Amino acid sequence: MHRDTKAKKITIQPSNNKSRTINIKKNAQIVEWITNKNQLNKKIITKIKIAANTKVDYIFLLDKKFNSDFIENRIIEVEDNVKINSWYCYLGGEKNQINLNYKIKSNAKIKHKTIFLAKGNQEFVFNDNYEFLSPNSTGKFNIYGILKNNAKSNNLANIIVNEKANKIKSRINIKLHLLGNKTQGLMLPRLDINNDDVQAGHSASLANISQDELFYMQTRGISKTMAEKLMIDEIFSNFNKELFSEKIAKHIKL
Amino acid sequence: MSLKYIYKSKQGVTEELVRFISHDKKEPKWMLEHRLNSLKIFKKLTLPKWGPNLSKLDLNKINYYKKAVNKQASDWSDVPADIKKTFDALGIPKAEQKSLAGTGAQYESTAIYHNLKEEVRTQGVIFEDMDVAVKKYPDLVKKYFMRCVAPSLHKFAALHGAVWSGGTFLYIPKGIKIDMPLQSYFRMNSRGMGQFEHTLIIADAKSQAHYIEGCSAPRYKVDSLHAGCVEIFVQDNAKFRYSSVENWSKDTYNLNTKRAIVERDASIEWVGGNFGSNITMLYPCSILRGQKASADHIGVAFASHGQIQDTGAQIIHAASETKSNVLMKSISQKGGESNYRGLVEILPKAKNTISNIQCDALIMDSKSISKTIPLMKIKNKTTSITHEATAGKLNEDDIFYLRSRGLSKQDAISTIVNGFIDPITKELPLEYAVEMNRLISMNNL
Repeated sequence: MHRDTKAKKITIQPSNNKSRTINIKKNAQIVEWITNKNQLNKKIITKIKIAANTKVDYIFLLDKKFNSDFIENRIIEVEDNVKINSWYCYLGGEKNQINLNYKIKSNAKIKHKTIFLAKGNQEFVFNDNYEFLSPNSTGKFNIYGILKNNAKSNNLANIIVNEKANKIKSRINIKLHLLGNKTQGLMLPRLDINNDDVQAGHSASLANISQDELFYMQTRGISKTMAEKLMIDEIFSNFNKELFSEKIAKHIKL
Repeated sequence: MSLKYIYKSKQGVTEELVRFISHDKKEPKWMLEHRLNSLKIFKKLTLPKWGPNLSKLDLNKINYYKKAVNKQASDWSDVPADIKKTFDALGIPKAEQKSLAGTGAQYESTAIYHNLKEEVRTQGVIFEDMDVAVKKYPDLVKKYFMRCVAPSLHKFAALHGAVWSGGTFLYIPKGIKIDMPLQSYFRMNSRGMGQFEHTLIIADAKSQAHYIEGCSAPRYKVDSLHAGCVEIFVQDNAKFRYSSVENWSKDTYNLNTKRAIVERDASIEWVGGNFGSNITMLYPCSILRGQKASADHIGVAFASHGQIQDTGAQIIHAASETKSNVLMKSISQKGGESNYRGLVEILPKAKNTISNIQCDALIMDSKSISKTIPLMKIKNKTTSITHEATAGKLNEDDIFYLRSRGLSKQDAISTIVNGFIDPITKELPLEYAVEMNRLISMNNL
């Protein structure tokens, strides 16, 4: 179930003409929805600063309609006692390069989910760093990738725990679904741990419909194409769980 | 030790030295050409731009060739007393009597002892010092030598190709199964030394064997270098296990290269323990070339003050229905750094492959570091890959529980650490497992 949609359009408050930093100073539900290149020229955000003691729900959507190369370089600075739920969804673009860098201070709780769909000859490079700077924070980072046709993706995700950041609990999960005969995926989930009082982990897996599962479904009259569609629907359904905007949820699908 | 060496090279590697080594060993012309070609490649290649910093390693201050004996023995009583004393202290002759099918021992650059039990020899098994094998079995050696580890693979493989000396040649004929393991032990005993032994193993079709390598060196506060090379060819339906425990001194750069090519329905198992050294960079590689080939990589690395253990596993799935399993454990303490650096690559033709990777890191104090860098390249959609990694400290609840049962804190910690590495130690021969536990106790874990 989705919560009622009370999402605000983001407001950008540049401190000068070139700066694309936004400051979030109070509890907010934010939607950033990119549908065309013109919009991107005006609104691309390179830094998000989240003030202490705030709770932020954040949706980023690169719409299916977006049909150019897409580069996103973003730093997300998280102050003390911040709670974040974020959903980053990439459905469009051609050659996409995403560099996301979290800088996390103390007592923060972060859930960050990413989903991407790459098809045709699309190339997707995903480079995430989740850096814990201070103690007592938790982070759960899930990445789901679906690749069709000849699409390729590189998925690099790195948990960094600094020397002073003790009592950190953090985990990355990467799950790729290769559906096309010529699809290729690269996964590199890294841990860079510089403190002993830490619980950190990562997992990476390639999930597909096994021959046995496919056979079972075919005996029930479900074709291979339909079986794959059902699987993708399930992935999107899981991603959309707890999404606060019904309107956006309708767009986040195959 | 006041041992007099028969030959000791000047520091640094030159064409003159490479020609001298080949001449001294009375090698065939093709091997000299191979050495000179490797030297050219070595000069062209740069140090790796990834991994631990090797800039402090001065390759011009290494002695690349040092000979303690002119002739290898097949009886320990023929080994010079000073050298025998070292191997006695390591327990090698005793282990040979009790539980080994064949034993080799190398001191500095050359083998000083090689022996194979008669009942194994009569089955056609060849177990020789590599220098001897080049002359005695030229066709077999030429066919396989540095075909798995090419000199162009990296700078230290090229250096190895130029100055390699000693090592082991093992050939197991078709259908032969050796129940007892074979073992070689490599000792680098003098300061500023370089050791470049070459291990070449051919497990012919349907054969089965287990080979163990042990390595050690005393500490001199002068950098020394170990750049050995292990090549294993596992033919159709053969099974081969390679175990090693490397306990180099803390002034040794251990830059070793180990690779296997595994053919149809064949399997390779790598079991490894890395303890000593200043910097270790070691990533045993399995190339699964035949259908239904499989590889298991099991290892433990231990890094203490001033040490970087950069270890891992590489598996290339080049054929369909191939399988790989990786289980790696690491322990960092007193400012040590232990890293898992792995690669699993699924090539486009490799359908229905399975790969499972698990690596766990234990960090004993806030000065120590652990990194996990597992790269997975997947070019076939039918593969199934799972990777799981954890990093963390000892569980306080577990320590509390053991202390409530009367154990001291130190014993409680040692018990938990031994439990942590138990899946690895139980795969090692008993003597090595005991040695590993002893090393951990000595480090006050």
